[in-house]
Amino acid sequence: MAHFAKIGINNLVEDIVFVDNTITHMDVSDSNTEDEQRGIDYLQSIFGTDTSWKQCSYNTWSNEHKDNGKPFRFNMPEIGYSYDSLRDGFIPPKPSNDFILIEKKLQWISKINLSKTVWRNDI
Amino acid sequence: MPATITHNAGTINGSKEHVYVEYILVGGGNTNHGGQVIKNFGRIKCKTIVNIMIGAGNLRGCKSTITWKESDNTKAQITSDYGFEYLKDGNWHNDKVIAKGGEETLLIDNLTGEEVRYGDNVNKPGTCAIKMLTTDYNNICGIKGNPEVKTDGDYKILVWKQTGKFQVS
Repeated sequence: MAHFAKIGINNLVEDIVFVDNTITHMDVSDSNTEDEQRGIDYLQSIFGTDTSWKQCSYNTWSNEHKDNGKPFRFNMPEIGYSYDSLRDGFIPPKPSNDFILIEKKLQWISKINLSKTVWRNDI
Repeated sequence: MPATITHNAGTINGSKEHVYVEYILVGGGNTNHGGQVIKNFGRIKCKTIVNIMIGAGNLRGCKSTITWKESDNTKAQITSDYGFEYLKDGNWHNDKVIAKGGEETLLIDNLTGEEVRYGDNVNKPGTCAIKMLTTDYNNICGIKGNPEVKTDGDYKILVWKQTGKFQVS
């Protein structure tokens, strides 16, 4: 199965939809034949060529794959997440100004109870 | 079937004006619940393209929607001002249909001719089943999303498990 996020104004995720592997794979029995562009083409054929889509990984969180696979775009997004094209990843909404972004995970962490040493190492 | 629903009767420019349908739309499930289940009657003005967005199953669940747009070939035929309409309080309402993600509802129904539990899609994508209340299945075209085609007597039911679309002509 493949999930795609609809990217709207300010790169915010507006929807997340499900597309079957028969659409995204050249050969559904071979996972190496998955092609994101096939899914994008399919969704644009339905919702218009002016819509923007990015594939996301259901099993990826904090840049780790829960089945020890290859993480993809840092985090499985939800509606309201943002897509960062420079980092090519999805970022949750910033909880407050007391939070900083951990670059290697694209996750927010509170500065309040964090020693400088720890969060510098994490970034 | 409500008294306000009739089978296709009138014609405009040689085609039927509406296709009447019954549908069940289910939102994507979250980690604890399936998606919202909406069952209702609808009608689709001919030449309308109906888009079906199947919400993903994830942490919070994502909404599934039925939306519509005019087709490109309406110019000399029907201007589809109403597109997809659903029945509410005995009147037809022209708006998109949204089934929320991750909202606990459960409906056991036999829309497809067999008993199905809708809304137990915890952590799974939503679904959309549309039963054509016409025996003229050839009226449906432009189908995308590889819906499963089922039958209930003379009626066809299309069941989408991924995002897709169709058109009534």
